[in-house]
Amino acid sequence: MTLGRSNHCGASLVELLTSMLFVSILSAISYSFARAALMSARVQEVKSEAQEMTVLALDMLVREVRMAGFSAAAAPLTGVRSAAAARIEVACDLNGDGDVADSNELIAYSYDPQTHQLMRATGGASPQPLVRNVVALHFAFFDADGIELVPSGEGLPAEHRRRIRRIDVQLSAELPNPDPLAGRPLASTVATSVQLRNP
Amino acid sequence: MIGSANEGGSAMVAALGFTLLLLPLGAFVALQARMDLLIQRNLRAEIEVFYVAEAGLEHAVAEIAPGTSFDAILAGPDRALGTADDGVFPFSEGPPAPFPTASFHYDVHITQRRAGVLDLISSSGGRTGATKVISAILTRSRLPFTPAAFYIDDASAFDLGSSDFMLSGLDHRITDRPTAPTGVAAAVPALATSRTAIEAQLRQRLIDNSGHLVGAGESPSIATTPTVDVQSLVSACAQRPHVSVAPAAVSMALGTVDAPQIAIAANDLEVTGQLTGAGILVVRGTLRVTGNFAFTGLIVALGGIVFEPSSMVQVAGAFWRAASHDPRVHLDGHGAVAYSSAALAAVDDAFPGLLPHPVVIAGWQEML
Repeated sequence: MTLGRSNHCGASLVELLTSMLFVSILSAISYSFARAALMSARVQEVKSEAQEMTVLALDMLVREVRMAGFSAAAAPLTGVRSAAAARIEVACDLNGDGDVADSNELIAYSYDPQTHQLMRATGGASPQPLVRNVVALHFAFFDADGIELVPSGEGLPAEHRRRIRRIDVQLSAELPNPDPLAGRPLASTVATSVQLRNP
Repeated sequence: MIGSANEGGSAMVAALGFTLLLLPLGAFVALQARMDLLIQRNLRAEIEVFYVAEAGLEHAVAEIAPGTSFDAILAGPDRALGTADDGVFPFSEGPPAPFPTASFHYDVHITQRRAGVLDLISSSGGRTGATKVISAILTRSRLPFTPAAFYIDDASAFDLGSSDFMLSGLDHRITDRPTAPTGVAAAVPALATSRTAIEAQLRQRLIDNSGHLVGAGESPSIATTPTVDVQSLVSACAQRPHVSVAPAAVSMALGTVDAPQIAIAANDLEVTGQLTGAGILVVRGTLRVTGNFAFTGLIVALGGIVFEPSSMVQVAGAFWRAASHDPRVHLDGHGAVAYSSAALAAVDDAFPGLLPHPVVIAGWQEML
């Protein structure tokens, strides 16, 4: 009886194989589940990053464009110096010295399609990258009556720029999808309208 | 039974291992989501307080009446200079209530940048401790304030008559005919009052005279505008060098476009012959016209106004009337009162500091 019981205590080959098969199946299920969860977390993180990147870039752009035409000396100033579909340059006189040559008084935003970057330039200097992975930047310009002023390739002429009262901005960015099985990049598009306050 | 007990332990170990694997992942996702939520909440709060600060600025600007200086504003709510509340914006209804809900508030302060130029600072607070400060540089418009071609404080007996008398709020040059304006300034209403109820009465009464009231807004061109302090203007005119006008004017010239003057009729004024003039004409009593009357500039009346059917009246500029014990405003006969920014600007140049000027925002800045 004792011998018989001790013989039954060990695992037979069939039992061993069965348990190995069971563990393998369980591991495969666990792995795929864990991978999906990990990928989902990474995708979510990248999505958030894309959204935050575009929202914060747009916030900064709006803040600076809204200051177009401000003069601390309350003197008339042409606020929008350049207005094209993917480029804008705005000027303000923050210290009231009568010019726009000081820091952050002349600011340009543009899109570089070669490098897919949102560029920012101050004081007429060469543009510096502000945001990478940008796929589109689009400006639309409107006068006080809400009539769109459509820029040509060269941008709006001076008399049209003086009439601008509202600027619509749309910014799109795409980040690579961390999931190699998903082909599409993760995109974020944000848009807003900027009312120009200064005369 | 013994075998089954041994196998139960391995399942638990597997479950614990699986849980341990997923726990950090879950925690990371939760932290990331919380971080995103906080960023979005802060962005939203910032946008909210921005518009609350804008509301404060607009509220304050809307309360600054047309005038000649900012002294009354700078004196603060107690209207006395040199006291502790100087610089606090004197809202007409006291300190502003939370806006738009109890979570938000704004405060408006003012400082003088230089003579005739104010800095108005609107700071707001909102949810999650968000704050925003914006400032505006305020000054007075170069053009004098013009509520309408014809402004009246009351409308108890307004009558446009049956002939072709016209009120035009379109901008006329001084030499323009009333029907052919060529001025470039923005149109003003043909007729305006300071009270909405009176505007409704006038609109109802004058609906058939739409063609005779042209100007800004829908036809007939009638509007409600800020109150014009006509009495103060009359008092200020009396302080300046002026000519006195006799009650009955048969033929008279009260200044020219090149040499405008302030003319004051202390009582009634009856025009039976030919009266021409330029500048400011103040009539403290009733203005009655049966003859020809041509004036360039501003006419201010404190009593009744009666243009008889035989009259020919040509006014280029504007006509203001204060609330009066004599309610008659009877505009019959031929001619027009035509708004002319050029005529009013000429008056303003000739008599600086007399006509009120509206406030304008000369600069806007987001500070914080």
